Amino acid sequence: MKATNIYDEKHKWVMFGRDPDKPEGIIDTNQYLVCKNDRAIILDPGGIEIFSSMLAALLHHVSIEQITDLFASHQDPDIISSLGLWDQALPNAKLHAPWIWEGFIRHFGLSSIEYVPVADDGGTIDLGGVKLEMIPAHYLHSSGNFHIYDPVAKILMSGDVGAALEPIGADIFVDDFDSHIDKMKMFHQRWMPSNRAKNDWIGRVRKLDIQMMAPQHGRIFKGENVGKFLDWFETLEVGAAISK
Amino acid sequence: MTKEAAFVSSASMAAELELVAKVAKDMSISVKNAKAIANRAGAKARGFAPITDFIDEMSNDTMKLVSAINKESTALSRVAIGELRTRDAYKKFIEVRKVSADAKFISSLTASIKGLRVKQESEQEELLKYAKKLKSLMDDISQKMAVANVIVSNSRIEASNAEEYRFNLETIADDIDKSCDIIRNRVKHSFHRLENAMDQWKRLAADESNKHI
Repeated sequence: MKATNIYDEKHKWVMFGRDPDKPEGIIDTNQYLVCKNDRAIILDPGGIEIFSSMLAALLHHVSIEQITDLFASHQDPDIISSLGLWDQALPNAKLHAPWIWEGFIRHFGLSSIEYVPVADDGGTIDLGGVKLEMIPAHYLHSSGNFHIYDPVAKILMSGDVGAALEPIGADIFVDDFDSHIDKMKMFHQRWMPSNRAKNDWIGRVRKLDIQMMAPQHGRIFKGENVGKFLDWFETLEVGAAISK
Repeated sequence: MTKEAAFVSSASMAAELELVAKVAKDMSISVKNAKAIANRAGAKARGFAPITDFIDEMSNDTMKLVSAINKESTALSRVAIGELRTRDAYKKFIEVRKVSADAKFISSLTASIKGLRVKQESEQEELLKYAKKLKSLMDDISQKMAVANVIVSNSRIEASNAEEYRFNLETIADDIDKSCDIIRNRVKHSFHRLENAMDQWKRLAADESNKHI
């Protein structure tokens, strides 16, 4: 699995993805590690199928003891179906995830890790000096959904928002926004159910100072491409299955 | 016998033995019927009454045993799934240690691997304990059925002296005999199914253990 440092100043952000060992037929995912000193959090740790590759890649950056927290933006299997295995690896860790999904996520296997339910209006994860804000993104696409904003690194981990369906070898960053639209248009039209929720989220996110928007599939948006994405998303009609 | 996981065998076995409980219940009804006939027959079926009492008690015991088997096999299935998950995690951790031997923090995985090994051993012990208990419960039912066969033979002799009640009592004895056969065969099948699954599980666990030493 490919690991890319996307921020390495006051603390560190590493993106993991583009896994060449991933079994065929499952969607490629981006996992993110945020770490500082003896604390680390994995954002959207991924599915059971990529667990081995993910753990192997992680150990190049942090030790098992350092991983104190996990975050699941929502309940999907590609986000957190590996939970039963993390539960065996990190018995003292905490999982921050939407309160609404607790009874569902526990089905993936959770006996040691502590489930920390996140209230609808979000909250903050204090990672030993790094404060990560959980930004509500409900109905984008899940009915209980959060994104992570790091005000120091100015990174927004945007879950499925900004996702694109691409082959394994795709670049890490969006270079030409216009040509990237085709790779994400259908995904957003179909997976995102609510225009109202979309516009509510855009209003909230526009107030944040974002240098990088890092989705869970596809490429990361940097600099002016973040604004371009928000403008494009604002004009996009979502909930396409209903309109058909 | 096809290969199947221990948790599948124990769960399937519980379902299979539901039939045993149903047959035992039917047997209990037949026996109550026989008792009523024996009462009506009076002196002509004097020897039949204690036999019906015994069969009634035996069918009730069988139902209780099936209920205990159900409980134990569900527990075995739960432990077997837990052990399978621990084994899966263990295998994955070992794989990570192998492919990522040069990772800076690879040694931090050692404690987790050791912890999983201890957990797995304890789950394996528990699994064997439940399997032993289940076999013993099934053994109890088989023994009861063997005794029942002898009793049913005696009941036929008693029935032959019951004059006009003979036909009814012999029919009931036949029914009980058939019920015993069904129960005995079903328990025997479940017993072998569990034995096979446990043998296969032991081989697999030993193979994997040798592979990872």
